[in-house]
Amino acid sequence: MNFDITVLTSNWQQFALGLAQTLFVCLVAIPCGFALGTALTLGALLGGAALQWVARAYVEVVRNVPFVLQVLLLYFALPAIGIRMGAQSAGITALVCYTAAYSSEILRGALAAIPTGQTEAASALGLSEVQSFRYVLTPQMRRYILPAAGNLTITLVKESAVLSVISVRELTYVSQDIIGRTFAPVEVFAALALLYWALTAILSAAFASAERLQ
Amino acid sequence: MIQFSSTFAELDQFLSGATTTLCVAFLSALIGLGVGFGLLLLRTSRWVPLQRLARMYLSFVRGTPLLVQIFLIYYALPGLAGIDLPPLGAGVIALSLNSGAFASEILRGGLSAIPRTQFDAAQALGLSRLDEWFRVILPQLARLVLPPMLNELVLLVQGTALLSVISVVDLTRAAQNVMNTTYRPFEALTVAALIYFIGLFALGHGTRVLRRKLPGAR
Repeated sequence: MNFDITVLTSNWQQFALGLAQTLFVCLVAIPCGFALGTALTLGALLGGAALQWVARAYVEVVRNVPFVLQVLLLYFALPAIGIRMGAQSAGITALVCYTAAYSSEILRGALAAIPTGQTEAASALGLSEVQSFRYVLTPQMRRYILPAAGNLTITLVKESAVLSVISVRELTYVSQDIIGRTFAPVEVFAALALLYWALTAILSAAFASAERLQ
Repeated sequence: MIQFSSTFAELDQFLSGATTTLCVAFLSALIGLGVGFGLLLLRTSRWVPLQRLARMYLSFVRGTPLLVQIFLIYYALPGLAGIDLPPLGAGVIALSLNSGAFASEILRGGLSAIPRTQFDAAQALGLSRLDEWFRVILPQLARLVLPPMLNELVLLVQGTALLSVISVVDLTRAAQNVMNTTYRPFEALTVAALIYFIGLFALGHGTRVLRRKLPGAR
């Protein structure tokens, strides 16, 4: 078997477009997901038992149903109840929902890891709830959150490959498209794997240096 | 209009899909455990190139999407090695190789939690290398790693859903087949999601109970 590098060089533009799409989808979905996850945790914290139960149920559903099935549900099942989305919107929505559930877990874990004595001390010092959160809890939580958020981000970039199943034109979909025209699965999938590997290596190096900086 | 009757009529398709999902997950978990032990041996070997190889492998498995790994085994391996694999075989291999990487991490973590003195005590008692491992270390290791391994199994079952993409008729694929014959995507996909949820939630809950019951487990 010979490795035909021209398959890759002559299709580099498609790869670049796919990579751009993967980055776009992640750059939109991940911040939105983290914001929603934060809202979910804070809502559960401040909103009483009913809201807490809803947040908990949401997280458990997302964590116990395969991500592909969530993607298929959003794309194929929601139209039946009147919610129609294009492939890209459905894909981004799926990633946002997924990120929200996992990031709210991270935040919840970080909050639980801080001894209650810290909150008590803050209120004994006369800090308001907001001040206590801002000046006492947040700086301590950062230590727990940053590594976990880094891992989650890497997981999400990898999960974005699943969006190819509903024909979002990201990196994995584009690669299958190229194979359809060139019949060179070895070259294209090897390149695809290397691209993801490089992407996640860059991300994990970035998070590692962010952890050192703080 | 939501209407489940035509979907429920295809319940046997869901059940046979769920059976495939379970079998594939268990088989991959077992082989993955073997792969995990193999990787652990490589990582603790005195020969540096072997350690590097194991680290490269772990980095690759963790750094690339499972879907791409499945494609590599199913579509690219035949071209590389000249062996044609059926979808099910390729799927089990891909999942085993993937879960093996995570299993080796768990095993390493568990092993590092066993005090050195246990090894020393076994040697002081004059146990053979084999007895030391099988009677002293492995029973303790099993307790330590069981809960995280079960967590990994939850992820593995979710990973099997990706095999639907290479036409393995697992629960996800069965749901897609039902959706294509009944024209009721909402109902078919919801039923599949519910089956996954019940099974995986129960597994997760069992793991949490186990964690509390097993002395010494984390």
